Amino acid sequence: MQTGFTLTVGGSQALNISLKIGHATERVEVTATAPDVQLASSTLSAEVDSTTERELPLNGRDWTQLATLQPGVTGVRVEAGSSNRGNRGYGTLLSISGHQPYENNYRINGISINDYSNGSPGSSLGVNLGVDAVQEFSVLIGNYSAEYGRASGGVINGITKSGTNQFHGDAYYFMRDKVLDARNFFDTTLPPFHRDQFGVAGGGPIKKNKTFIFADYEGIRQRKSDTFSNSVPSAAARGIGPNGQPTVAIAGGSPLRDPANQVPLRIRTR
Amino acid sequence: MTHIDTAVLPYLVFYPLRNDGLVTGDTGTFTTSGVERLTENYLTLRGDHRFSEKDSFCSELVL
Repeated sequence: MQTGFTLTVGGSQALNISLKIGHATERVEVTATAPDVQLASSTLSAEVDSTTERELPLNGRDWTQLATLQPGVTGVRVEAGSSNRGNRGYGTLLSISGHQPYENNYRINGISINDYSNGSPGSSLGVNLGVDAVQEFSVLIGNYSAEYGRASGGVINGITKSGTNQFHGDAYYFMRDKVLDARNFFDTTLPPFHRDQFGVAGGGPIKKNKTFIFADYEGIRQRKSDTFSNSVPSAAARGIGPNGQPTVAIAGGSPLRDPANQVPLRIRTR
Repeated sequence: MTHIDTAVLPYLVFYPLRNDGLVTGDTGTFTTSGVERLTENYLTLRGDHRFSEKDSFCSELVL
């Protein structure tokens, strides 16, 4: 019996079995942890298992954020509210091995789930839900084999959970609110923020050892804002003096009012 | 004395008044936070069937 092998998603292991005379059967059980040295593949990769996904805190429970735990993978900070993000998708941007975030391939069960701009998958909220449905995923950083196409950067390669012979399930609720936050530098007051995130997942057998089912639901209800600062015409540009009185006259019918005392502004025309 | 062209006057109403202490010349700062409401639902349904030790089938629906 050979021990000490773990097959992870997208991984491959060399298993050299020596045959002995007189043995009619040979049994192979894969039970132990993986060796530190990868002998069977030249791929530079790392795995994120279900325990890591389940136990580590995730802002918005976006499982692709966990890819940044691997060496060579870094998040790219882009303004979430930037207008050009709508042209590119709102998923978590990752640079793998120094490549652009739009050169990666995200796969679930072997199917590419990149967004319409070949960027990271993500909703309008910028997160990838369903972490409870992801069994594990690997991050191929480079030198991967020809079976992984559609990418010159990295490959995020995930598989989903399936039901087993035992019924398992979980339910959860996460809440964030502005009362738990501090003001940032630009906030004059705390901007609105409240997020409810909840879900349930479960699986089990329909027929033992034969047919299984698994389901996962996750929902987000969020009300949020960021503080924006804009340049606007000052009181002087509107013809208002330091004491709040109009310094210029006159063009009757101006809809502008002095912010200090709501006196209609009277502005001189050329 | 400030001169404002009457052609510009109707458009000044579209600019909010400054609401903090920062003024640089003819411009001030208007700070605001508009609320964005988002609702998101995610559903996965997966079924597996094992025909034998070697053959299995799975189907998955993601909404």
